[in-house]
Amino acid sequence: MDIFEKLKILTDSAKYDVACTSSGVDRTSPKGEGIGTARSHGICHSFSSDGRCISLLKVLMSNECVYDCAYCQNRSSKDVKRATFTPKELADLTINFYKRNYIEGLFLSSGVIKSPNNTTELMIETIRILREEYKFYGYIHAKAIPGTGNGLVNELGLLVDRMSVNIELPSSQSLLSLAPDKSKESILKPMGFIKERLNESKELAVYKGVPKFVPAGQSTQMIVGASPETDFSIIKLSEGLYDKYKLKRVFYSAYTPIVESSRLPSLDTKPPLLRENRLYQADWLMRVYGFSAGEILNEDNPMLNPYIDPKCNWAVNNPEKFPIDVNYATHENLLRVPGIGILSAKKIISARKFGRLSFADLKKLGVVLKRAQYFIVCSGKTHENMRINQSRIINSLLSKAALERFLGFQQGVQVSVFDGFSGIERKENNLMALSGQL
Amino acid sequence: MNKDEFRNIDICCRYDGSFYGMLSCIFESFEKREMPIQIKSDDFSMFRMKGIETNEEKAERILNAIPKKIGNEALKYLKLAYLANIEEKEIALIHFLKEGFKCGRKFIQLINTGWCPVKKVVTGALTNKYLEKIQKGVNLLTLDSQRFIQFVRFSEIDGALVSIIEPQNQVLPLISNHFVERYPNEKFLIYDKTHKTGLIYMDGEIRLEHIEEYQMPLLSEKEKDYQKLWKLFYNTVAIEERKNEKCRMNFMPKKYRKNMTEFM
Repeated sequence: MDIFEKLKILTDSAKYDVACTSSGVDRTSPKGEGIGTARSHGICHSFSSDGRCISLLKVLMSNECVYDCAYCQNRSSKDVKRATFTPKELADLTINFYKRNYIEGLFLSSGVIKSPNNTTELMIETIRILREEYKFYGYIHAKAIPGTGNGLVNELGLLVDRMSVNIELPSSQSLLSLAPDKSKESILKPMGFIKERLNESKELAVYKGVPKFVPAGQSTQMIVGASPETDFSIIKLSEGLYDKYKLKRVFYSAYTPIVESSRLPSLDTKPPLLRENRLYQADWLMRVYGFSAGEILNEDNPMLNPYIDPKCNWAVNNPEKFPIDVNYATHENLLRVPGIGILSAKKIISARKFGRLSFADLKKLGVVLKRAQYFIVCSGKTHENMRINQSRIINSLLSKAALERFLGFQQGVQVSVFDGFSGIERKENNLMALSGQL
Repeated sequence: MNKDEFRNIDICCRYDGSFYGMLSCIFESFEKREMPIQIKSDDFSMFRMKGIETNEEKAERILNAIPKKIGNEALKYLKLAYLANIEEKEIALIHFLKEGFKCGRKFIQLINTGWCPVKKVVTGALTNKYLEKIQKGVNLLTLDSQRFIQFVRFSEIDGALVSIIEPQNQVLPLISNHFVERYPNEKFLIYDKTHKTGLIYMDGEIRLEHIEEYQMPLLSEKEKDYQKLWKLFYNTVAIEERKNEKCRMNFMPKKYRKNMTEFM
């Protein structure tokens, strides 16, 4: 089989893993040897026709697999063409793509060939060639294959920038029904081990020359929409992962039906892209804006509102916290206003040293007044002296058609909340690829 | 007349287009307290021309004064503005420096907050108009240079990496450091077709050179194969069910695609 066919098969089978970032570590080659750098903000080198960032050469080492997970197109019982890169082949391809500025590095995952240890050894060999023979200092992200021995995970961790173990599905029941060969324990064990090693490595970092263990931290991914979990249980799980396992990122992948199974949504199901987007927004609120999962959703209200973003939704439901005065409010409170982001909050803080800010000034600073105007006052005055109440806010943030459905949503008609409003979906989708470069 | 005010004169000052030349014009304007109606580096003007000789000493005096009186960031900003594509750039920069020398160190915060025109600091609608122009131009330049770090595509030709780009701004000085760090042991050329400039890196030395014309040489079979492999990867990695042309356009506008391998 030639390299063209291999690349096609192994890209095709890796692409449904949505995460593709090159962020989290800053590095230039010491003494100017070899090739490559890494930038902590990450660099997207292209965008595919679905608008996703292409930052790394994302391929599988092999699509052969001994497991039989229902949602996976590489499952052992499926009749597909199988291919495996040799370590040398893949290392050469990576270096040549890197030289031409196509990519920032390699994202290597794999089906399980023979055994987890055997698979990991192949991956290590590929990355070793890159790091040692080519002196490659670009970004490498590797998947830890559940079931691999700690010794090998450690060896891999010392070569790569980021490692991830996919949590796959948001609950152990779903794992049991859809991925019977994987268990919660087999996934959390390597995750815990990586966390331990990260801690040790940080303590050792005071000594010069000690190789760093996954300097860009670990991340994970789960599939959304293949199983019945609520958004609340999903973000609760993410919160736990950030807290307990010190993950850098949790990625959410809208389930795209590629295999037919009675245990899964039917093949004509559209991937729940808007839901995925809302989850990223909620995740962002937890990581960057200091919200807790319990503030965003709760048991009685377990699904993210498809019609307004989670931050607006929180603000509308907590009217007693508003309005706040931009000329006096603390940084944390400013961040909680819909329409004020990280950058504009910072700008407000430094600009108000010069004098009182007016609504016109806020606009220049990049505040989105369309949303923010209902939640703020400037020196005691509301925007154009309007009166604020909850229904007015909702009325003006939504289109008429969306409003009708929104009212339905509020009354608990939640069965098909994420169906049939492609209009909104498109608009919101532009944010999606953001997950790549931040 | 207020001594802060410059007298307007109907003269077009001409300089050689260099950074020091531009600074010499600015120096002249400050020294004589005169605001020329135009400052250009070519001959096309309806007004009476006055040639300004590049004077390194005068230019240095401005360069030394800025960090002391306004701050280092203002100097960085001035250099970026010189590279950016700004209408009436030189006149705008005189306004920029005039305001800067007047406000002193406060000016930096003004830059950092994105020129929120708090009345106490900036006076005059005209000045504000110019400051906004500069800010817009510099923001576009920075964005452009980030985009070219992402989207430059090299072809390997006789062991050297070659790329042709067509940016609206002069991005080469801003992206050179990134690529030198990325490829410390390669040879490369990035040719800016718009500004007829080449960024050349060879034997550990980087230089910017005027090149009147450059065309991509014939590609080897090996190079063609890698380009095919990349196109194959690019087209395969997209998920049909998630197709979103608008999102792609947001992140990668058409003007950048012209010289990218995956669209050729």
